Amino acid sequence: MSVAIVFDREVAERWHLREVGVWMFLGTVVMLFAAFTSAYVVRKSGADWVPVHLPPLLWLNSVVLLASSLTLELGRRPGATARAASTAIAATCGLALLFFAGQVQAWSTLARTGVYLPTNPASSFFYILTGVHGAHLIVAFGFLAYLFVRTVRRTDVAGWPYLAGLVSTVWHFLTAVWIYLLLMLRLA
Amino acid sequence: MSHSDSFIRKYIFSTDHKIIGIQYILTGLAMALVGGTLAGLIRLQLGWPGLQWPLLGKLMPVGMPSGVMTPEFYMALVTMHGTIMVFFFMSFVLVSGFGNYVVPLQIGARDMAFPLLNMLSYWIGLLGAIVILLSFFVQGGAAAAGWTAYPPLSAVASAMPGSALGQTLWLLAMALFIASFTMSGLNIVATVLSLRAPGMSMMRMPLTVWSYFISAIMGLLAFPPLTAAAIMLLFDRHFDTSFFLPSGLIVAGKLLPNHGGSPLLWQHLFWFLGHPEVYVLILPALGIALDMLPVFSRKPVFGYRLSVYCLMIVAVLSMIVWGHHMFVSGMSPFSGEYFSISTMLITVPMTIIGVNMLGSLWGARITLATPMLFALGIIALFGVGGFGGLFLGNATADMQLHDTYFVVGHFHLMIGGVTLLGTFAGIYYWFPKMFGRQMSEALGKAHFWLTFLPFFTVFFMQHFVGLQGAPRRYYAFTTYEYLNRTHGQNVVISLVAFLLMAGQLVFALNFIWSLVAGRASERNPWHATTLEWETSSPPPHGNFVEIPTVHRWAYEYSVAGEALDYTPQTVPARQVAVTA
Ligand code: HEM
Ligand SMILES: [Cu+2]
Repeated sequence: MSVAIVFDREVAERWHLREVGVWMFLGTVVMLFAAFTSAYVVRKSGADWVPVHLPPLLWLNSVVLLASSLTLELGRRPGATARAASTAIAATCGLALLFFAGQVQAWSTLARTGVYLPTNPASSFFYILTGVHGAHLIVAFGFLAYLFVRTVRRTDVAGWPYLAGLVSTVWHFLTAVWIYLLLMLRLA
Repeated sequence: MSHSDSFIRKYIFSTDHKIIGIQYILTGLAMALVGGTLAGLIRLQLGWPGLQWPLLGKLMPVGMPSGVMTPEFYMALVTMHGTIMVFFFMSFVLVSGFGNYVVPLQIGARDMAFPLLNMLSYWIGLLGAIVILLSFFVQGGAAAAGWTAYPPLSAVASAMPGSALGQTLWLLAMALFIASFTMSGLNIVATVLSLRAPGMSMMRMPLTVWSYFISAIMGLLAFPPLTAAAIMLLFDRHFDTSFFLPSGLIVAGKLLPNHGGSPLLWQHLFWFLGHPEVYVLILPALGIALDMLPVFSRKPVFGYRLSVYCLMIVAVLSMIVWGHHMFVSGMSPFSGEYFSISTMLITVPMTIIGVNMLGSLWGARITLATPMLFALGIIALFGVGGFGGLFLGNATADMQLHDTYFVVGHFHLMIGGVTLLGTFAGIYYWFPKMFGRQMSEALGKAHFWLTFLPFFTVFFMQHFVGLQGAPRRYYAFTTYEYLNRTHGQNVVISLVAFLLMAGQLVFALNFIWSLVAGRASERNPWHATTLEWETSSPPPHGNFVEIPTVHRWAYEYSVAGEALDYTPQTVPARQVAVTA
């Protein structure tokens, strides 16, 4: 017996609205980091700029975050069974936590070498940019955890694909922001 | 469910856009009372510097010991007046208030796109308002670095009394405001994009809706950079970073540890927000005026499409002109020239909007009802304020005029006057919709003249005080020989300003009296065409019994051969021909 989910127009419209809202919100996040970028470029031209030696752990963290995006996609792909979806999204949550732990570890590595927040403008930017990104990611993690609960409990099955779609939009977006920030801190 | 419980859900923690809109409007008006009182104290000082006011001294023993204002308190007054008026009065009433109340009704929606977010937006905004008020009562008093919060005053806690806890609370209040305003903006944009009634194409939307839509988008793009700047300022203040603080700064006899920061960086980030923000405020006022003219001149709006395109162009250009606030900051003459040219460019669409307003009046039978008076007042202030802007936008002239009362006069006509008149136009016009009662026309007209004439006088005169070289934000003009001759003018300005404030009592009286005892209003008292008048006043929960279908634009007045001189947007084409 096939359980075709009936396409519900009202549900689709409600989620479409949320999608519009989320994309607009992400637009404001783009502007936030654009402003930080321009401040970074301006401040970098100062004579007292000493580049931060980035802890190599950050590269590993990036791989972890990219992997979390990947597992999220696996979990929400249309053919996935409920079990597979739960496993994959649980893995995403685990990888996210690993990323947080890794970032904190990177901070303390840096601090141990005597590079603190006010040490020089480059280090100030490093701590603040990773912090602001982390704060966004923590909020997104709340939604991710909610998605996990919904996946396990299987409530409101019709809305689930939409919810998963939105959460993954936000999550991938923040992954992309992280890669962007890392490259900026490394190269620019 | 108990009775009180449902009352709370319905009128306090409501998710209905109409209630939230009214909450914003009432909160904003209360804040205006505070901001206006601060302005009164400022005028008292500028008109009669050094005079003793024993009673005020008793009320404010710190700010006015023995009845004479301290310079530090004066700075706090100027700062808080600007902050409260721009963010907690105008943004609340005109943008979030009317935006919430009017936009869903005019596009035929049942509510905002995200009602819960909307409620959250109001409560967070209210919290911001409370924090900014509380900051008067902390050690050192309220923030005193200007509404622009330039470092180092805003960044070094020991710089002056208001730089301490007061400035921290200022930043906190701004953070809350930005969060609230962002939620409200997201809601307006999503609502306009997705919830329009059948037949309501974008090009059939009233200009009011267009102006809110565009101003919301601008707000969403412009506020995040201020957020970023505020985060960095917070770290400079509390964690010894050096984003905005240069090397070798000595404050209160102590050398600060900071090095290499750039105070100009703050100015760029602030004005990247600050300039668009003034347009965020003025566009709704212009939209309201553009829409009111046809109603009271009984003919279609002039140049609808052109006005829409001009609003869009203004929005885009407003993002690239911020440097005109910084001509004297030592920027390269090439940048100055660039910002001059872009500023001149933005006056073109602004002028076209002004001309379109006049075009709407051309050859019309004008009814001078109260909302119309305010709309006409907007044209006058917009014209004169814009004329002053032309001088300021020219870098060469601005070298002289920057930080003088010329600028104060200019921006009060614009961000103060046009928006104030827009707010009142909106209140008089939609009061019957909100409360089902009519405000008194006689009191309304008296209020208009008691607002318009003194307002114009005060800020027109300030242009000339500025031309005589009087700098803004100075506590007293007594120590400079060349400014002595402005003293008489300052006295006159102060007296007229008090008249302006007294005039607002007429409004308060009218508002409260009409609320309880105003004449019951018919459903469509102004014989207008837009959708909000197609439902009962006040509208039911969900706005419309049945979602209306739209058949035409919003300006079908005096269609030839029709008995009625207006055709609502819901009337099908087979009944009355569609003209546009
Ligand atoms: C017609 C177009 C306009 C032009 C060319 C123009 C130009 C300028 C310039 C060049 C300045 C900087 C002056 C200085 O600090 O030396 C200025 C200040 C200001 N303008 Fe305008 N302006 C225009 C319209 C408006 C509008 C529509 C508003 C508000 C709704 C507005 C609000 C302000 C404010 C608030 C300031 C001063 C901010 C401060 O320093 O505290 N302006 N304007
Ligand atoms: Cu400007």
